[in-house]
Amino acid sequence: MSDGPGRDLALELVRVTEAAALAAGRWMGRGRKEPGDEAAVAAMRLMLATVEIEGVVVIGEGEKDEAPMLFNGEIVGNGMGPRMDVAVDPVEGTSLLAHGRPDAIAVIAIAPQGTMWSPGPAFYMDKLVVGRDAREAISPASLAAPVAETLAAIAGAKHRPVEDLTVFVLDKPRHAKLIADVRAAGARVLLRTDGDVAGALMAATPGSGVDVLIGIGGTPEGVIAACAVRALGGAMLGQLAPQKPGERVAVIAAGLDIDLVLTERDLVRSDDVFFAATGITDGVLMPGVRYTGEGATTDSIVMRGKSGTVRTIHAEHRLEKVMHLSPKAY
Amino acid sequence: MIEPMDRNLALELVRVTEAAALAAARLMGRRDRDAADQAAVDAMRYTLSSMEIDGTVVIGEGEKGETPMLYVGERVGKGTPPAVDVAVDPIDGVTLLANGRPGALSVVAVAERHTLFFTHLAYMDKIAVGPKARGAININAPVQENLRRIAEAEGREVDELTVVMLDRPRHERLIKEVKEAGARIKLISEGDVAPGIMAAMEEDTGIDVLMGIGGSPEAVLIACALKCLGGDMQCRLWPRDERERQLLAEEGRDMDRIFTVDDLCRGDNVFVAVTGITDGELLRGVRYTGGYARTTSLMMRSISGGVRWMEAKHDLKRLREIAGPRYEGVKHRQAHR
Repeated sequence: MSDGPGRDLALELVRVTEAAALAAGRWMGRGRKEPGDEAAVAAMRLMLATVEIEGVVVIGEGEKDEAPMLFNGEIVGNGMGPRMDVAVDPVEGTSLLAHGRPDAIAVIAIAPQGTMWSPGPAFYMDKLVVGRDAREAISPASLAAPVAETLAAIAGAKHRPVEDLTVFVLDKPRHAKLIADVRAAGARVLLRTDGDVAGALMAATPGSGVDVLIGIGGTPEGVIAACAVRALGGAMLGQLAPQKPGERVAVIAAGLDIDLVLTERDLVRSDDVFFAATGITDGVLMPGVRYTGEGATTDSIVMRGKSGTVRTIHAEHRLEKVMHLSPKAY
Repeated sequence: MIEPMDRNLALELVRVTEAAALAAARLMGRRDRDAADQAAVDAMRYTLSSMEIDGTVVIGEGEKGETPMLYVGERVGKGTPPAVDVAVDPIDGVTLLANGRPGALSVVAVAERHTLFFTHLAYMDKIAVGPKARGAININAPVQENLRRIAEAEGREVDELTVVMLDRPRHERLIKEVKEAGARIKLISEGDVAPGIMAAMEEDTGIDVLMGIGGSPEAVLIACALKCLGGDMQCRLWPRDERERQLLAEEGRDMDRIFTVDDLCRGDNVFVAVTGITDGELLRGVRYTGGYARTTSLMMRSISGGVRWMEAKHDLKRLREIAGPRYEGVKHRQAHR
């Protein structure tokens, strides 16, 4: 105890997601996905260079040959602190941003080196996320169980009827039956075209108005979400669910087990995780970037797994800094 | 080409003020100022010890020999660069806290080494305002003129201004003059750091001017905050008695010297963090919700001029595993039964 409480890297990470959000915010609703993402990547990388870690990107913008920055394997941080795995999504929901829809966020998670699960060629994962108060209601069998049964157990743990639950589901054709089943069970549904990291964050955050996330989304996003779920004390299940042509074969060839149900503890094997997210467009969890003429404001959530501290941060940035991060947006 | 920005210490400092607030809040309303202060000082020093700074306390709990922890000259932090001056007020408004009254908070400021003002004199006469009224104040001018110029700079009438000052017999004349000028008055019983910060955020807080005689260490802390917020202040040393008049002479200073924000805080890279202990107008106090404690804080930095408001939810069980019982106030409560 004499060496103090240790550093809370989440407090440094918030500057990273704030920078990404400030850079991307100007691109809201302009109909194009790439420029906002590129601006966010550049800003995130710039700020990440000041964080005292010896980081390796394990979940990034893609493989080295397809992404110029924040590619998988890139060394980030100032090289002076602890060795950490880094997972980033500078714009989680690029099409949400491009169309001015809610809940586009900038996110980053870090955990000790070698503790983040590596998705390899796996693109898709079937997920279930709940908050701390419904931890006990789910088990690895829940993913395969009928949705009505799972929702009944969650409602029971929360001491309310199923009708009082809100379930986050991505609005994709693959989820037609799932959505029908949730409706038939009586729960309310929050449909979003993209962004299931935000959905997982909502499901794991007490009082957000969203109780559960169900459905198939990105595997890398699943690892990022698991970091937040661990820090929040929630529960998560994930099972690989190949959707793309050739994905199944590639996943099996890579030695991944498609029958295995992973938990948040498998997806990130340490409680020493740090997570930060900043709103780009207005959302359920936090407002997006707002421009005031004198600068811009951002809202963020940051957390540290070890202490369980969850912080919300409203920041007022002066124009000078906003211009610095997005000198000429378009 | 965009340049990277360096470390923002304000974000780390907030853990220091949060820790002091969490520890002190347990002792709210127990009429035990010493216990509350000790709890805050202990927690503050504990968190400061893990910060990667080479810090020297310049505004602390007292002078060396008077106090065991956070005394002036004490080295804090891990000893790694940057070398910084550290100004602490673990509890601003300790009597407020001891009586469960609103407005107690914890504050820390950090600036480059040898940039914060130090005096042995306890008091300063102050006038502080926000960014809009910058350049409009003159501590040597009559109260009426200052208020007229502040109102003009802010595009308002004098009777729309709110002036805050400590409720002390020494302010009888000041109160009379403000009344005659037509401005509204807010009298506070203790703790002028918060009002000083609030005067610089007039649009958020409804307080426009801080006036009157208050603590010198508090003046330095306010100066650090004003540097971040772009506010303005002028101060003069105010000796209480013959002994302090002598001190004034020994320090080679006189009562006519006007100290500006830049005199009290000469640094260009200044960081401030503030956390509420009891509910106040600037910040909410610590709240307990079965296994969790919630704190609200304010962080600022001079270079970027950015301000961050933070609400934190602390898991008390996990905090205990990391930090022991220091946030629970038990030890201090028993020691001072």
